[in-house]
Amino acid sequence: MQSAGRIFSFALITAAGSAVAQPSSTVDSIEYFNSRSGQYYRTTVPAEISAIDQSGSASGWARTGQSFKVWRTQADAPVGAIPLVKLTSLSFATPSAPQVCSLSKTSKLTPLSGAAANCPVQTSVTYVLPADASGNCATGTQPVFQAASPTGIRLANQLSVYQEMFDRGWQAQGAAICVPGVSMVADADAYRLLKQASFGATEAAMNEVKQMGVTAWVDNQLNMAVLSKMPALEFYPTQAPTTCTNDGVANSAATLCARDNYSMFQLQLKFSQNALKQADQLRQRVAFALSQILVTSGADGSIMPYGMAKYQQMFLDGAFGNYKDLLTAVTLSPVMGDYLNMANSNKPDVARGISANENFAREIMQLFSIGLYELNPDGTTKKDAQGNLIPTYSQATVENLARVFTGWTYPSFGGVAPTRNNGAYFEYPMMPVESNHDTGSKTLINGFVIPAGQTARQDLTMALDHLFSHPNVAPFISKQLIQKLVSGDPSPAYVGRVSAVFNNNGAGVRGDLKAVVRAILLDPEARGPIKTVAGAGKLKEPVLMALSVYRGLGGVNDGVWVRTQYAGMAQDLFRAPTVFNYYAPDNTVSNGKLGPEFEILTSTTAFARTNFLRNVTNVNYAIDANVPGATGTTVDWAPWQALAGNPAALVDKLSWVFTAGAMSASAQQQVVSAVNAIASTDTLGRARTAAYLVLSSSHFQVDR
Amino acid sequence: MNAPYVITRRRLLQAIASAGAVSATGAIDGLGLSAALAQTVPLNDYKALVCVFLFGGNDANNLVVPMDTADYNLYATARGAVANNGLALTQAQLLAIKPKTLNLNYGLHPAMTDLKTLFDAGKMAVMTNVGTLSQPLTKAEYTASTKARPDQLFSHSDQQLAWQTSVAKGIERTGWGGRLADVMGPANGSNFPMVTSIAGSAIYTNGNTPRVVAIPSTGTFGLSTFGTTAQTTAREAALKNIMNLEAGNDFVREADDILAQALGASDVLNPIITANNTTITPIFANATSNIGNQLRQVAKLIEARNTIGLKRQIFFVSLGGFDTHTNQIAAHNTLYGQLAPALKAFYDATVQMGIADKVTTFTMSDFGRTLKAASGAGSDHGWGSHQIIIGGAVRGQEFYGTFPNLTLGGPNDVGTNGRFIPTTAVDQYGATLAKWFGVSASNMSTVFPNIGRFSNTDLGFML
Repeated sequence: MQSAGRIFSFALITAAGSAVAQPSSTVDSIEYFNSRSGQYYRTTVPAEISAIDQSGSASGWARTGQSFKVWRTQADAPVGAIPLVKLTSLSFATPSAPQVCSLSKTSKLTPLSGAAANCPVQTSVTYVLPADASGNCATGTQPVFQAASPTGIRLANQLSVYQEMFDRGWQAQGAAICVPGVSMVADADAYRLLKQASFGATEAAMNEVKQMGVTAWVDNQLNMAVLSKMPALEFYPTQAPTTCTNDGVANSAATLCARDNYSMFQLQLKFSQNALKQADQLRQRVAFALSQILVTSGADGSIMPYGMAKYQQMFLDGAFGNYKDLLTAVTLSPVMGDYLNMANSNKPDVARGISANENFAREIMQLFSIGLYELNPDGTTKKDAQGNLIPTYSQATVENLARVFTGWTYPSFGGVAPTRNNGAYFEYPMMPVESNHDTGSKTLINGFVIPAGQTARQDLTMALDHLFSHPNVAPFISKQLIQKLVSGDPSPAYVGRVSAVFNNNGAGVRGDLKAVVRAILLDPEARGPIKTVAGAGKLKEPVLMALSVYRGLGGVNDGVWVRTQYAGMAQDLFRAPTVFNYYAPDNTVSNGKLGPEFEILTSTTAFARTNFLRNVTNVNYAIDANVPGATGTTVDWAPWQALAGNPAALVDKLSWVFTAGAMSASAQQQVVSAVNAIASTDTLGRARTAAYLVLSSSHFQVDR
Repeated sequence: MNAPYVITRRRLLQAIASAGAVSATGAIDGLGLSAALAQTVPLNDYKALVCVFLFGGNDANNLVVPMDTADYNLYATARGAVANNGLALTQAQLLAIKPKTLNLNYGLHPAMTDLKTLFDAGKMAVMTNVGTLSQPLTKAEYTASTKARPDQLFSHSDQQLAWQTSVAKGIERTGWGGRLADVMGPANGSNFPMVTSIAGSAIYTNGNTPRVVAIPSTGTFGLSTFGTTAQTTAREAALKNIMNLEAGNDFVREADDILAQALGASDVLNPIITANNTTITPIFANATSNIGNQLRQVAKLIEARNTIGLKRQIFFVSLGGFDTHTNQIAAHNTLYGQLAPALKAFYDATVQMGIADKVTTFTMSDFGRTLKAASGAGSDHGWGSHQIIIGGAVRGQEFYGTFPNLTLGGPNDVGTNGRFIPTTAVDQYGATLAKWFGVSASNMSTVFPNIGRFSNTDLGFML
């Protein structure tokens, strides 16, 4: 609902009112809770407020501290306001134990008229605005959310309170009404966006999103140039020279050369620095997601870092390009060729009894394009007449596709056309050797035939066109991108909406990742302040978790220390254990919901994550003299210490930056209590303790 | 909403820490475990099953090779000479072994000297051509598709699941290690989690009882402290309180549960794995690989079995790298060179502890590999394969099952590259181990839902 033309701004009314010294245009709605009956109660009637307050502990009723304002009269309220007729009151039949009389049990708070029988109604009529169909409130007003249980309802304008009722098992019913005040909903949505589309919220990023608005910020990110670069590493031979081999002497020239050129050190470092500093955050997140779908791994010792740097740069450059182009580049990459053995896979050698290597042929279908089973456009599996899943391909398809991919080798030095199997070299795409290519015909999916007599490249192009045209590609890839950016178990409808964009970006183009990412982030299932669906969200993967912490806390960070922490949390960057990545997209949590990242959350890594946070909040890491340009890792605690005198404010700020307001009121209270146990003079101890507790809580560990 | 369930479970998990060896009878009722399925007669003796999962699909065609001329020639022809980018080991390289009751000669991979020692001593058996089946299947039935095949043969992820769940067709969310714990748990003398992984998460370990505890292969297992003791205490209390607040979100609850359980388990296990007075470490002096470290950790936990208080324990360890599409000869030398000393050291540790006949170690792997070599001197994804079983209770120095005919395109090959239809199912292999472990006949189908489809449920390799 766009309100500007329909209602007066709240500020304007107040100003007009004050000019003629009228009574305030608003009144307070005060909330009470009865610890005996577990009921909540609100009233705006001054006499009743006074009576309840005076009844004291004897009655069991006490203020919760929650209140919001409502408009006193229709004249005070904006156009479109509706009357809120208060029908309930406290019965003082037993003065020491007043009870709620005639508690409303309607699922939504609806304006009522008339009086309930047998109730000492102290009628009051105040005015509120209805929320629009999407639960949005007009500018200058804020939503009041309604949570319901079988015994009652609770209204809350604070998200942490609403979140708490959801956590307690109450039904979260969304925004019921709009009342005067400044909404935190937009803030919460902006923080949520930064969880999904960046390596974590910072003060600056938050201001940027608030200024630009969600859609404009996403578009700005989608159209930003490539700022993040992988390190430019020079060629080194697979067999390391002794001058570049760890000689057992710490920080000797040879040891450092080995670190830089024969391990993923420089890549992990640059990745971390980019994530901490570079502005092209969304591009980096999407590239990271793609690198975990189209997986190669430095754990396979034959892949040289200078090659892996090019492989990863491909995802940074192509994050908002076309998936088909990426799939082609990946297929021809010597890094993938090395990893899944397409490089130097020759046509079958009948005399020696050797077949074409099936590794890449199988995994490009199973993992990179279509998956194992036929899918509906919404990502759900199709079933045959007997109710069985329908495999997309057979072993025969794998064997035929393996023959398609024969005849490719590592590039030659100097780009000369190779004539035989080259040794490992990762500078350029793979090159064909026609004499090693199987020129027989090949039958692929659903009887599709690649004719005999074609070149290696013709076969490859035709096969990739064939795979990319499969209807599975859109839901298969779209769902995984949603899982890595927004939610582990997205609804089929969400997958369907995104996969429709994958199939057609609106201009008839298939596979346009820019449009797909935009659709993922702007989808209603991604947007909004708090997701009160039980299965919403995902566990932060370790690398994202670690970097988000430092981005949010602020300070000086060169990435040198943080990069050492990923492996212990089971996400050794660019060193996945297998082509199946660190975790599988179909991994489930105990209740059956899809929770990919939970595959690597065990009792061991739960400690690793928590102890990582202990170190973050407790240790400054000095400059490593053996890393050029190193600055060390030092959190700037000053802004947090400045809040330490007011623990509630400190915790509130932390919970906004790190949980987007998802930390419930009672969880925040636990942190406040722990902070209060530390002397107020120890502002650093207070700040560190508060940060440790907010960060180690699942409210931060899980993005929702 | 299942908040009450969660609370019950959390309380139980926290109770683990303080209870230690003490049984809290009745606490398990809150776990939704059907009492009818549980075995409740208390156990007197200690037994442990150790699963060694060889990730990637071990090419056991080169683990165990027939040595008699006709069969060896079939092998050598199908694999091709190493000089020609083939995979055939020579008879001279192989370590000769001879099953006690078979008039046949076999050879173990040259890196397996430690296993030859165990085999010859009667402490190791070979289970031949075992694999995933949803029911007995002949080549004719496979070819004509008259009987169901396992889902997604030759796919890593799916065949790992099939091995670990024992369910080759259809979706199963628990593993047979976890289900073993479900049925044996109530008789187990402690409510400490019965399944321990030193290799992260694996569906094999998942049952309906409290989740598996995963511990690292080295180092500590617990929360680090900081600040003063009082501050640490206050911080930990707050951390636990936050964790125990109810969560409406599934993922928040899941993450809370995992950390809650870890905290409970840490109190019991961390002193054990960080203890200096263990007698185990020296035995692993020649087995310091990752798999060696994992098995050493298992041995240390078994050494402390009376502290933990469980009568039955299930362990999961793993070694990756077996997806040898290329350069297999070198890869096997490395991998087997790590595996064999680790298995031998672990067996020796059980001997030293005097419980060699109470601990059985067995291998599993995604699948076997093609007998025919693939371009690049490796092999592609296959099906049936050989596994090994080690322990004092193993009827060792024997082969079990039926060794496949190594003719490409022959009676056991589903194609022409040497992918062998298993002649023994994972279910039978597992059930034989489970029977030794103490699972009653009536409970066997709970652990192995399809066991009724196979006639022989005790393959005889356990005493």
